[in-house]
Amino acid sequence: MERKHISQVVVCREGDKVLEVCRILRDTQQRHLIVVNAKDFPVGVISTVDTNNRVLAEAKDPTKCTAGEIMTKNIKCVSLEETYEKAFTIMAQHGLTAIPVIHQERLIGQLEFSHAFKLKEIKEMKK
Amino acid sequence: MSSIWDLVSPIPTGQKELSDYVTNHYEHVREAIGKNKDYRTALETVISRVVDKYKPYLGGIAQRVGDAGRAVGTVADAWLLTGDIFGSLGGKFLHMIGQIPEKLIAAPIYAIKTGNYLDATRNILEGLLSYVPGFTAVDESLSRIIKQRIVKDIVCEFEKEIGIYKPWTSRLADRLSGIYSGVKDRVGNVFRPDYDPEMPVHALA
Repeated sequence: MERKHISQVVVCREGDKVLEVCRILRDTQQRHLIVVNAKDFPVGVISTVDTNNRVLAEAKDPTKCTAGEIMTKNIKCVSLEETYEKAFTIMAQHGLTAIPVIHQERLIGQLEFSHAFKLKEIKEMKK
Repeated sequence: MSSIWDLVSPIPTGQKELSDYVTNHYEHVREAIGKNKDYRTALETVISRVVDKYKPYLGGIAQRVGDAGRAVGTVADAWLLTGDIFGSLGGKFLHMIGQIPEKLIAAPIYAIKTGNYLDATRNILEGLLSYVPGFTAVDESLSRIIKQRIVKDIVCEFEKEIGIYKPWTSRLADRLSGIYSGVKDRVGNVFRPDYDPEMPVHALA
């Protein structure tokens, strides 16, 4: 994959409190963000629905519980060295709209489904 | 002329003309150059760099055919006023045929090579809307969209060059701070694909 086809991604830390996570979502006007560990490796994802369903609806204190506690774990990601076809296949199989891209074991951005689809098609057309 | 918009508000592509255009249309650029004359040289360097980047995508057969199609479409729109609906629709058909190379070949290639997918999508959507009789003018043409991108990139690169560029997180924070409390610039929470292991982490936005 080429870096120019990768989009930037908004992240939070595993240890960030949920209140901070909500504020990051608000300040960046995002609906979801990627949770990274101390080595910047993606370990989970949190959406605005998660903060509602797993914190507010469960009457948890957002100033006490952390992103690591409420995130969706075991997320799929691809390496920058992988092909668009592989990224597309993973997204299609799991119904993802975007997939985190890592390079040297560090998150560098995300590849959107529409981009992966277009790039895959174009590669096939060239063949 | 690539579309009727170029008659109303032309966007130049020459070095000198672009320099004048940017300083006339962007007050902060004009002010910055007024304060420091060296910034004029910086602006010219940026213009040269940006124009070189987009030059290969300006013009070309596909866009010329598209321009011809739009000219026919504009005439067909005017012809509609005569009441000859079928004559006008014939012109619109030729207009549609003329758009195929631009919308199906030039725009996707431009998007893939530059990463400006929104520009290409806009061009294609404008093209679709322009097929409606009387709406040819909606299509601003790919070359005009690229020229607009050139101007935007020049301003952005110039801001970065002289150190007044604000990343989107900062602009968003400015906007939201009037609405919510405790709004911060979240630049450190944005990971970008131009990450280089040698660079300090998160110092990239």
